[in-house]
Amino acid sequence: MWGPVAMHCSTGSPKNAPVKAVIDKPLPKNLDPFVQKSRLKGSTFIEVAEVKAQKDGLLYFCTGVQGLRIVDATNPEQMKALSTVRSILSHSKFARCQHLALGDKHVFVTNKGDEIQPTPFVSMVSLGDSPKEVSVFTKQGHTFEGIDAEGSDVYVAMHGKGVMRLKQNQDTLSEVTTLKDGLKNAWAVDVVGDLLYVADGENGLVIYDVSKKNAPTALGHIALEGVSQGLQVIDNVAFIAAGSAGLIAVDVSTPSQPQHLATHDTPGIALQVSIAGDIAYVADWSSVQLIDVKTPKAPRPFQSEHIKTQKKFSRVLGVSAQGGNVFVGEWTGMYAFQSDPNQKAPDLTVSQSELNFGKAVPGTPKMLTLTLNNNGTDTWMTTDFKVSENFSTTQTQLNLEPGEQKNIEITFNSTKEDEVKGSIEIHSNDPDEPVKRVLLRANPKGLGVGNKAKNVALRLLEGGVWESSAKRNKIIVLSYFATF
Amino acid sequence: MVGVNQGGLRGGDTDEIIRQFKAQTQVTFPLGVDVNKTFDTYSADENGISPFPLDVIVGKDGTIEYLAREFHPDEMKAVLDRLLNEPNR
Repeated sequence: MWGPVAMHCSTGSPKNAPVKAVIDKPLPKNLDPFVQKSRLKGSTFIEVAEVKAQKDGLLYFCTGVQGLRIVDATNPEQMKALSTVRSILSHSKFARCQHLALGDKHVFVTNKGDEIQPTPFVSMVSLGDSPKEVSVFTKQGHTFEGIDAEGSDVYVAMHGKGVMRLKQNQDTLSEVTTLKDGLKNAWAVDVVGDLLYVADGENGLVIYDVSKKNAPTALGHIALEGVSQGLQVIDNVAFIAAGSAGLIAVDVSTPSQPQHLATHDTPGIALQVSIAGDIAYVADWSSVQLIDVKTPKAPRPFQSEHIKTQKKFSRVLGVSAQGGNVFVGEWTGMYAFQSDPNQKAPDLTVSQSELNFGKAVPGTPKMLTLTLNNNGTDTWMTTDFKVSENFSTTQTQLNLEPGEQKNIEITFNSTKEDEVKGSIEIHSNDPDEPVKRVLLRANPKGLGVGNKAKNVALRLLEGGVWESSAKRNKIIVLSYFATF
Repeated sequence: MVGVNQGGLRGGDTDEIIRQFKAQTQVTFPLGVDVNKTFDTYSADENGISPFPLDVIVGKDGTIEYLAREFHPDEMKAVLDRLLNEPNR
């Protein structure tokens, strides 16, 4: 059963209204400006995707495993699970919920198709005491990605097939029209009044006038770097998560002539962006990035956070902020943080979490470089570097001003060909990571740098076989993906 | 060249699903299915647990010059620049 908190969700709130970062209780001095408050209990490897926090304290998020989750997050230190909704079309173990939009009385959810759930679909969930799915929409040959709603109008991005407008009427969801003009690869949508903003993959940003419901018209377009796949529009600025290009700010005050303001390259792949106060929170694949966008044409890094999981890696695919409360969707769970933009602190990031020296000749030193970057707002200072046996560094003391980066050199030297695993520990005044550990490895047992590559045979999708052995004297780049 | 893990992680990737993936990612280069399970070989050192994407650069003489389990485009570009500018070994 839902408690009284859940009842508020039908009241709605002005979408995209700027939210002033209000800190109920400022963090003590000398603490990190971005502090983890809790992790939702029972969320274990649920594949969290898009996250949306609401002013009333309710938190909605998609999970690839469980479906739509609704959580009472009024107290971020103790999030409380309220409800889980799995579609009748979902696979019994992998729901594949990806994106969501909040309407007045419903939540609209897109579900992707993949190896185990072949049919992509849009699901409509009624809110109230007992949330439940009331309608599903699917269309042969169509995939559904980002989604947004304004009143009873629901817009859903469909990659190469444009953007579909659906109409919600009572408990049904039906197709009205499809927007294609100027669109190439629609990933995400944000509707603000009569304007629809489309993050259109490699094509950048496309803006539509949707005031005439059955005859929407393309108003403006701007080509952008990277792959535009998430966005939020606030105060005539479109903040776009543009994949490997990072975060891009576009002035949309004149929709027919959007103007590029700035691109801030993030270390990972920018997937979703949420703005609260002066800070843009970016789900950046392997971390969450905090970027000060008080002056949108001059964004500057504020903090970054790698979610510590039991695995060697983490995946941040969703983030949503309300005031100083920030909810981060890591693949394995939902995390609540408190953000205090007034707190100054250093923040160390390193170019790699692991340095692999590959195969080394015994007795011949081999050197690699590690780049250290102060991503914070105060001076970063080391107190010590500790390096494992067989590895060394001549670096002793190092200071970095905010935004500054420097390289340190690490050398491997051994008289044997045995595999060696170690680490370098960087001790510093970084408040949330006083000791950062980078793994060091040399002479790896399996296939690694310095080994001869095995023959790679690929059955080509369009027919035929490609073999690396036939490409001698060529440089080969292989990138392995999975479709899920 | 992109190699898609054979059968997905849980088995059952069909060509139709891979085409859907291609349409979504809009990749313009050839796409193939890893039929001799080289992904498993590259990730064996991680006890079979390795996140996607996995990137490998092989030099002209067949030596692995780069292998990473996180996407670092700048590092990849630096390795490619080095390989393209060095004389044949």
